[in-house]
Amino acid sequence: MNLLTVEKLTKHFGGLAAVSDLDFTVAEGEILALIGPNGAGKTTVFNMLTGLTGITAGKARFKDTELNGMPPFRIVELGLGRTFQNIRLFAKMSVLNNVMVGFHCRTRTGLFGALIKTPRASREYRQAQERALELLAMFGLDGVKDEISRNLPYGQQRGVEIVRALATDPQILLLDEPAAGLNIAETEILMEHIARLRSDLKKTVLLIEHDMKMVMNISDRIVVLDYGVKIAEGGPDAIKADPRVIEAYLGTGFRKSHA
Amino acid sequence: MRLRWLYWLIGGIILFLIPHVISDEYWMHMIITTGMWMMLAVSMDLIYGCTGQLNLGHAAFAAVGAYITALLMLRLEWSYWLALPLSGLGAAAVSLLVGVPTMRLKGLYLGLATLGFSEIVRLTLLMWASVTRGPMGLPGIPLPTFGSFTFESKTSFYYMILALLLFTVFCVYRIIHSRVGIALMAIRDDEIAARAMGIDSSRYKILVFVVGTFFAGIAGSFYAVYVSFISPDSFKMLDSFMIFAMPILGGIGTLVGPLIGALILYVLPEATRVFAQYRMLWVGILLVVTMVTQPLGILGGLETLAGKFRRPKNGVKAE
Repeated sequence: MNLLTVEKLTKHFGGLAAVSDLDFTVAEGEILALIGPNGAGKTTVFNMLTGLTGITAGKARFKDTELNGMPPFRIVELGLGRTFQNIRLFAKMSVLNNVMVGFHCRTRTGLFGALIKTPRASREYRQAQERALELLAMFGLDGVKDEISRNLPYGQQRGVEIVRALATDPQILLLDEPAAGLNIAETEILMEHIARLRSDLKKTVLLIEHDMKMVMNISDRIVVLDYGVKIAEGGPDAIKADPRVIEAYLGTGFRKSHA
Repeated sequence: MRLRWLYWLIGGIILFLIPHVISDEYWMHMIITTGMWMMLAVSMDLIYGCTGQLNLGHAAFAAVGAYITALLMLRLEWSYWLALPLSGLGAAAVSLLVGVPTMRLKGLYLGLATLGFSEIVRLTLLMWASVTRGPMGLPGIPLPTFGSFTFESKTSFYYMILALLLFTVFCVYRIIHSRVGIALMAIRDDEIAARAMGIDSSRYKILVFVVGTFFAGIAGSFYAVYVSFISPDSFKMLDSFMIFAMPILGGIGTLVGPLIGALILYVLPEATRVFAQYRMLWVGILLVVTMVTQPLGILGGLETLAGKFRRPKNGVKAE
C-alpha cells in the first residue's frame, strides 16, 4: 500500500519554480531516497509535505488524506515525522524534554489538567517520559538525557532529532540529510539506526541525503531531482547507471569508484 | 531529598512569622508591595521567559485589573471576593482581544504592539473621565471584608498577597512542569520546529498570554484595595519595563529568578531613596553590569558557580 502519494506537486517562489510537476509514491515499509544537486528542491518537497510551506499546485496525500492546506501540527498527528537539514533542536531544553515535545501530539493534557494535575495528566506525563527514555536508550542516548541539547556534540544532536521525530509516532519518517556533518564512524552508526527504523520499528523512511555510499546501501528506490524536476527514478543500480543522473549529479567519476 | 518537607516547613514558618517579627509599618509596606511585583514578574516570566513572547505592556493589564476592581466595588458595591477573580478574567479577556490579532507578530514587533496597547489603556483611563474620573483617579476604594473581619492592617494584607503570590507561583510551576510547559518552551526555542513536532503554536501563544495577564489583573486588583486609590499613573509604562527586566535580571524561565529579580528591582530604588532623583541610576547600572557579566541572570550565574564547585569534587572521586 502507498503511504504517501505525490501528484504533480509544484512550488513557485515568486517567478522561480523550485519544484515542478513532481510525481512519486512511497510504499509502506520502503526506504526511498530523494537525491539531487544542491538547490534541486528536495527540502522544499519536505516542507510542502509537512505543511511548513504552501503547495502551489498538485497534490500530496497521506494514505487517503489530502495534505494540501493542512497545518503542520495536524500533519504530524496523521503520522508524518521529520528531521531538519540544519538541526533544529530546542537548544535551551534538555535532551529528554526535546523528546518529550515529540509526544505532544499523542497526549492530551491541557491547561486545566496541568493546573489540577489530574491522575490522567500525571500518568500521561510519566508514560511519555518512560517511552522517551526507552527511545533514547535505543539510540544510545539515554546517558545524555539531562544535557542541554545545544551542548551535545553534533552527531548526538542528529540522533536526538531522529528520536524526537520518532516520539511523534510517525508511520513515515522524513529525514533531511541526516548524515550531513557526520564523520565516517558516525555515518556507519546512523546507517544501522536507519536500517533498524524499518526492521525493528516498522517505519517507512523518506530520505534526503548527499552521502551516496549510504544512499546506495540502504535505499530500496531512489528519486533524482534536478532543478525541481524528476530526472530519474529506480533502484540503486539503475540510478548509478543512468546517464542523466551521472551528468546532473553523480559525475562521471562516480561509476568507476562505485562500480 | 528526604529533608525536603523540612525545608518547606521552615520556609512556611518564616513566611508566617514575618509580620509578627517586623513591626515597622514602612518595612511591611515594602514587603507587601514586593509581593505584588513578584506576582507580576512571575506571570511575566511565563509569557516571556518560558514562551519567548515579548510583552512590554504587562503593567497595563494590571491597570485593567485595578480599575475593574475599583469600579465594581465603588460603583456597584460588589464584594472584593467577586471583584478579584473578575479583574483577573477581565484582564485576560482584554489580552485575548490584543492577543488574537498580534500573535502573528514576533519579537520586537510584538513588543511594540504591546507597548502601543499599554498607551491605549493609559489614554483610555485618562480620557474616559465619566467612568474613570480621568487624571483624578479613583479614591476611597473600600477595604475587603471577610464576614466580620476587615482587611485593614498590614498583617492582613501581607497574608493576602502571600496567598495570591503562592497561588501564582503554584500555577506557573504546574504549567511549566507539564505537557503544556514543554510545548511553551519548545515554541520559545524554535517555533517552526515546534509546529513541525505537532504543536499548535498560535493557540499556545494566546493561551499563555491570557493566563499570564490573568495574574497581572489579579495583582492589579490587590493593589487597588491595598492602596485604596488608583489613577492612570498607578501602573506606568516604566513599570512595564521594570516587570520585563525582573525575570531577565533574576534568570528567565526559572521561577525563582523572577522572584529574586522583583525583590532587587523593587527594593533597590526604594532603599536608595536618599539619593533622590539618582536612584534609577543604580537600577540602570545594576542591569547593565548583570547582563554583561551574567547573561543568564543572577540565578543562572549562581548555578554556573555551583557547577564549578561541584565538578572538581566528582573529578576527585573518579580518580
